[in-house]
Amino acid sequence: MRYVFDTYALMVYLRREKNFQIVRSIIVDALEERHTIHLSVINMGELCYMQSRKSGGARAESSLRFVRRAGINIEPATTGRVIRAARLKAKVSLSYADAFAASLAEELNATLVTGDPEFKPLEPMLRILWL
Amino acid sequence: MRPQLTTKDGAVISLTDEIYEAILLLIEKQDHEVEPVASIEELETEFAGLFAANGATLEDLHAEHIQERGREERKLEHFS
Repeated sequence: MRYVFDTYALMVYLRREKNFQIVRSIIVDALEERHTIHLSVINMGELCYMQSRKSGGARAESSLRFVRRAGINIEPATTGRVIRAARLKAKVSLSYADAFAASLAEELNATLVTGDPEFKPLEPMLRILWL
Repeated sequence: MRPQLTTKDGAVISLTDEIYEAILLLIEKQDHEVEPVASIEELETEFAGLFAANGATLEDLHAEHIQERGREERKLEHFS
């Protein structure tokens, strides 16, 4: 099974917010190679600049290393992915980074893990695991 | 424009394209050599500092998305 995390899912885990155990258990299963986790590099960038703005560049670097050590696959923003995310963003009110998370989940036929209500309008077209 | 390398102490070194490409490849290779941890406990121990209270919050993320929408609306108004 494939999962796509958005920035929200990672923050839920890092901040020990409500339902962080769901994210944790998905990471556990991925580390044991029962399924895979994917993260758009655009969401990775969003996490980095949010961390950097709040607590400095070292924390952003640490976040990047954390994602790699957690066995999460960072997916590049290819031209095709940028165009698909742009088409989605034109239709639905989403942040730019979230448009990449949603279109990546659609492309990989994966379950999107998030608690961000921005994704509500996409429920008919995406499998979403709500946190 | 010739690629330049700025060192930590601020010195600027001009690079040939070949050296610039070689440095980029080296960085990319190092980046991909990070291996996943063996267990969640190892992950949480190694990154204990990241779980501390001073990082970005969901409220920060929410505020960022609201600001982004505001910027987009201003741009659309400006160019329409």
